[in-house]
Amino acid sequence: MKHDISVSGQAGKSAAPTFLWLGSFWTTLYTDKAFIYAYCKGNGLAAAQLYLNFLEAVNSLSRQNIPIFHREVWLPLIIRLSQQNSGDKIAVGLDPAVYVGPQPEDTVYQAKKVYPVGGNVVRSGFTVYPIISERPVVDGVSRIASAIVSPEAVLLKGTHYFVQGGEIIFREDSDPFANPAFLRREIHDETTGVADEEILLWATDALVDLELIYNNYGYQLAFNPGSSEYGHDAVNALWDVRFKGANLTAVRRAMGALLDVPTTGVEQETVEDVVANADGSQTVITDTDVYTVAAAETIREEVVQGAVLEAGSFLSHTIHYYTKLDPARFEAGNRLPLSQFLLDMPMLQLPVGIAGNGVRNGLDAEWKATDITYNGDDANGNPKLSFKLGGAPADLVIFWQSIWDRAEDREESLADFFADFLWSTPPYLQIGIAVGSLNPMRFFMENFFKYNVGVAVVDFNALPEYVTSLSVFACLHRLLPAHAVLMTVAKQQVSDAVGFAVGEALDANYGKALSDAVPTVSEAGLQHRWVPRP
Amino acid sequence: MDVEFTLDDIDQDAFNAAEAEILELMRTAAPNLDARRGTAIRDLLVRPAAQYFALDAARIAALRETFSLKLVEESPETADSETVDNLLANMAYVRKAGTKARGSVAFYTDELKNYYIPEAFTVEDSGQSSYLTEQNWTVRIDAVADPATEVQLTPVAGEEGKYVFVLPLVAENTGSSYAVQSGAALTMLSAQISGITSAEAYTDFTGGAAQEEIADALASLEASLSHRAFESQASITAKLQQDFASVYAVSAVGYANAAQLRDKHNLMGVAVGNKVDIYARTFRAPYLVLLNKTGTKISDGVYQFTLTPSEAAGFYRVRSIIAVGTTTEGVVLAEQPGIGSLAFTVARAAYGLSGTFHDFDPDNGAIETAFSAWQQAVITVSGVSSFVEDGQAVYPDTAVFKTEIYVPPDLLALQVAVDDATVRNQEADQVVRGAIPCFISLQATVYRLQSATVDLLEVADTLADYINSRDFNASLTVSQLSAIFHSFDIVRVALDSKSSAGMRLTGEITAADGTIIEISGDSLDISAVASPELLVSADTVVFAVDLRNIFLNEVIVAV
Repeated sequence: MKHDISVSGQAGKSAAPTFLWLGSFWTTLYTDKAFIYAYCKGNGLAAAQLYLNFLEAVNSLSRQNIPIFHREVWLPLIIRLSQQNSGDKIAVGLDPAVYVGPQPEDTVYQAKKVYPVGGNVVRSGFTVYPIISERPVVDGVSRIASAIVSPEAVLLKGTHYFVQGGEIIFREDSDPFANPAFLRREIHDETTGVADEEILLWATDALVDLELIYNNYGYQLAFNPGSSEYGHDAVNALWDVRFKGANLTAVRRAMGALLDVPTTGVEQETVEDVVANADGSQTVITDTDVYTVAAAETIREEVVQGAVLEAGSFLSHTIHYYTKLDPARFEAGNRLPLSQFLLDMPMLQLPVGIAGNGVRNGLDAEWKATDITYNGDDANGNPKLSFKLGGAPADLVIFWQSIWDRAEDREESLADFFADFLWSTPPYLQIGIAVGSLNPMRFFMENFFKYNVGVAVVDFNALPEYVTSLSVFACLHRLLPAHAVLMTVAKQQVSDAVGFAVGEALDANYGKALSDAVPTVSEAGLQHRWVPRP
Repeated sequence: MDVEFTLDDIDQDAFNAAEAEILELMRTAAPNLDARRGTAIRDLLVRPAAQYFALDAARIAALRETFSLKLVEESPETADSETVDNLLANMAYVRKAGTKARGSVAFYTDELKNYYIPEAFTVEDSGQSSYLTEQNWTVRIDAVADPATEVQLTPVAGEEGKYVFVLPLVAENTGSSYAVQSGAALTMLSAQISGITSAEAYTDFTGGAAQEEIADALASLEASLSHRAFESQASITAKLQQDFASVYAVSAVGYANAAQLRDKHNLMGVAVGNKVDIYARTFRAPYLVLLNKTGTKISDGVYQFTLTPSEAAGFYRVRSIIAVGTTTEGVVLAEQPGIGSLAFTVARAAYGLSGTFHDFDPDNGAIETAFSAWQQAVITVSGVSSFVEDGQAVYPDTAVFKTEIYVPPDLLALQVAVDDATVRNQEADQVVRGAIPCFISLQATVYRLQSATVDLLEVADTLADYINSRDFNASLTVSQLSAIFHSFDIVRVALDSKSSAGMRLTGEITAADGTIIEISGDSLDISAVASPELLVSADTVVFAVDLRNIFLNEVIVAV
């Protein structure tokens, strides 16, 4: 891991230099040299950990170099017999993971078997213990020894055990309680009076989560993405946007970092190679960096050997970010064709703050030619015109009535306003007749959304599992120009096994399906959901 | 910053852990090492080494703590004010130093002569809070030549041989506890000036606030970590807080916000963006200004005057109006403090729209200019008493009114800063408005043991500081306030608002058209009473309380 700190040289691993520094009396004349050598070695190892801590503190001063985890060269871990196969989690890093709940079939865990939701298998072949430690061990324990001193048993990560979620999972025949090389200690709980046994394990190179990233750089932003490479990059991207301003590159990089989607850096990059990996992912090697496009993502067509990518380019189709919605110059403004936008956005939402006119739930406009309807004349003899929009019926009444009232107050004619879309000029004779045709979505894009609107469409299925919602974009809204707006749309393949009625709350992140025109979530297929601005 | 750890700071547990670790590590080379207590190696080598090992570990841990604002705040050892300020300085943030309450004091005398009042002339209220003059003043019996340093001595109406002059004073220290109310008697602490017989507060002292707490600074810190520009919510906040010490919180109401009315000036009424209303909280406690306004008679007992932006830019509401005299008689303190306000109405209107490039709809001018530098109001006062002249009730053509108005301080200066061509945003039309206060009233009964001591004034003070430090989009709940009560030596506080002793939390918001929106309950949620077409929303309203509107009763319980 690139943010690890290594102990340099042999300072912590050999007592020889320190021993020699003591002078010839101790190294040659003194009879119990091993005794002194042990002392030097013990102090040397202790100093190595101090040095590690010191480097960690120094590196914490840089948001770029801050280590993700604290590292302990030797860390004592305690496991107790009474806690065997207990704890909150039993996932062992195997694929598939085991689910918890009523189990209708298969009572023994089998590798590669896909269990239905509600699985509760009897574990076999491994033993789980919660780790008792003053510090939350996350991973990276490369070895576990029965003792620092001439251990009789040494277990290797991956071969004998995993560490996950504060628990240690031993594979078959590696359970320390079944191995006499690990010395047990009898303990007695004074409170409960229960006798128990415990084993002290010495872990090497243990990574401990002290929340270094959050404590030092996330706290100020009220943003805690967790301790990981992703968290490190996301926090740094947010700081970049703050210091550099919401330029297009910085915003794209922040979006990429917040969703862990590969995005090029702050300079132009040339693709040197694209390598397909066995797991379905692709490695993109540029002249300055190396990126991984996950198997779930679709790499962009332009990412090929020799291609020059501008700064802040998304390497996959997971995020489509549109910033210029002028239909006449769409591709020039967005590097994506209008046809792609229409696939991403079957309709345009006008939230309450934009629709104005006192509507309460927002309106929708489709990319589809629709009639302009004559609704009678106002007091000035001008026609009251309307066209089809999606939305609550009450909102549609409020919306159009407000427009007619405004036109009447101003003594302006909507026939003039919509002149380019009308088939004939007034007077019109029959209320309810079509007098023209207009594409509502195009109309709003041309007249109201041309500038000042950014739309981020996110392929939710392609996001990594630890990015569970688009609420992380909340951090961005305060950094974007206040006179503009960022709209976010989640695009997701939904199984017909999950059913929600139209208009019902989906979950805390998505609020409500906003109109009848939005495909119902209970239908299988591609869904587009507006993510409300926080 | 105190991270000067010595061996005295190492506790037994830390020492034991270090000793055990060194012993264990030594055994890597000498498994059979005899290191029992009493052996030379244990007592002469291991134990001293463990002390220094533990000491170094503690120093590094403390060093690491001082890099993290979160850890500093959590650690009682390092969470001193200096350390916090040093860390905040790294993030370009300076905590608000707190403000001193200001007001006016009337000095009474029975000698008609000139007086010299020196700087730092001090008076004290019954709570032993001191207020003092900030400069030298000359009190003149003849015409005032320089109003910046001179005031007039005037006769007290109806009291032969008694005179009065009024001076501005400032609280000795920062904090909301310096809140003496008009009419309160004051004791002169400075050397007695011959002839001055008494002093009393002429106006309420307002605007005092304590130094910003760490938790409050953190709310603003997030914005401070930004480039400074009139662009985003964060950068606008950072820019204004950098340039104006009085800016506590900022809310940028821009595109797609229902309370943004100015970007919908088209026939469709649909928002097009590019307009931003910057709501700035430039006060902690509600801030009052006192104006002596001359009204013109409309009819007998009814007078009218205009409040212009230069006098009370962005004002929220008029608190009280008292007739204090007529221009024919000069300013006379005819009314004694304590008398209620005259009846009045406020008609808001737009002001100076033809002279600005900012986009306001004249047809909706009163609302779109509300709380901004383009708001004015015509005040109509009724019920003004006549005076008797030659046996006749006379209503003079003009009369002077002591008018108390809640205003956002520095609003004009903020608008000038935003419009400054050297920093102005070219793309956006940005108008500054005062944060709309939701005036809070709180009533509660607290229970304490007979043996406990609870200073109710201090409790009220703490409550006021908490309420007045809330940001936009904040909630205010009974449970939040309950936690504050329990930080004092209070057994319990009744929460049930239905019982007579229960806590009652109410708020009043003056909307853009002058209507009053009331809100009450266990949780004050601005969103529930939002009326964006009148500029009232969670993005525009902040909670504010005047100390006098916190009513605490005390009940002593046996157990």
